[in-house]
Amino acid sequence: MHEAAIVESALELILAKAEEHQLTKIRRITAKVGELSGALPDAMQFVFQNASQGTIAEGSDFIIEQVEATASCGSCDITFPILYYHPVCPSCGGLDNQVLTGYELYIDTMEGD
Amino acid sequence: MSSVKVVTNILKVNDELTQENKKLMNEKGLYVINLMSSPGSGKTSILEKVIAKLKDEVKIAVIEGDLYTTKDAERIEAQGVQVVQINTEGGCHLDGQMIRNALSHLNLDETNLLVIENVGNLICPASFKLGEDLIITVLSTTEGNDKPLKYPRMFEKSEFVILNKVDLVPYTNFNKDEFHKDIREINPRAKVIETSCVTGQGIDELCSWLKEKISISNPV
Ligand SMILES: [Zn+2]
Repeated sequence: MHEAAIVESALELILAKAEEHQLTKIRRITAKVGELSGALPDAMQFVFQNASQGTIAEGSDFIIEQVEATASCGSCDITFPILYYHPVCPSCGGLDNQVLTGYELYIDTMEGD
Repeated sequence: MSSVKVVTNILKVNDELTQENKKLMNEKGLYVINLMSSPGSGKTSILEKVIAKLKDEVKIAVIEGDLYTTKDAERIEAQGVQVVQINTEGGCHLDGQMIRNALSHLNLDETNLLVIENVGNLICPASFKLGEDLIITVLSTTEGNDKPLKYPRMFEKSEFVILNKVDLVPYTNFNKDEFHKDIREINPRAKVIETSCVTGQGIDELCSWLKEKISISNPV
């Protein structure tokens, strides 16, 4: 459900960009999806294959690159991966850390003719 | 073959619409709450209680998001405040376009507090900003205390977290200590309040928090 809404927005964006760049056929799309974005790549892929039918993006490679979730601790000056959504500093156990990556949800590049 | 660097947020369209909505909300001096929860958490009941207590002091309007029914909107309407129903027809969250439509049906000059009751769902609504000043997430004890860790995004974004149906704790295996610990880990800044619409526990406290919030944003 959630992925459906996200992919619909993504497709709208892709088709608008294609028009802007006068592409008549889209071959390849890359998207960055963070581990914390709440969107599952498999589900997005499935929705995309259906939603893109009948558009110039039909049959294109939709490549989803998952972005690892990381945070930094201000006290320890280190960057660490967030495991199971817990931004707990592995060094001092502190909780009040800055999330650096993981919320990405964007279209990165596209190729076409 | 040509290659295009896009680098554009997928939810950009929603964000832009929301910014326009926010402008209107600001012009009208609205304080806006995005009220989120899973289905059956009792958030409509909490809202009914809050409206009953605050409606003489604060002019309240409600946007009621629901999958298919108008049941919740009817309950709110019975409180004598403005309400607009949005049926998402299966859509799992409210977005900027829906809020824009709903706003056009409300008399915003007669409103100080706008409560947006989001669709009951712990996942999707957290991704869609609606121009809110305050995010409140309601969890009920019958859903189990593992929910914040399973769906952290919503709890992480919430300034207030309401634990509802605390009167039922003795009949469930809900572990309140674990719940409070998990919320502190996910969101150390969240204010947590325990409520029961049966006993009325926590409702007065919630109303005074809300009044404080509204008065800070709209000093008289
Ligand atoms: Zn640290």
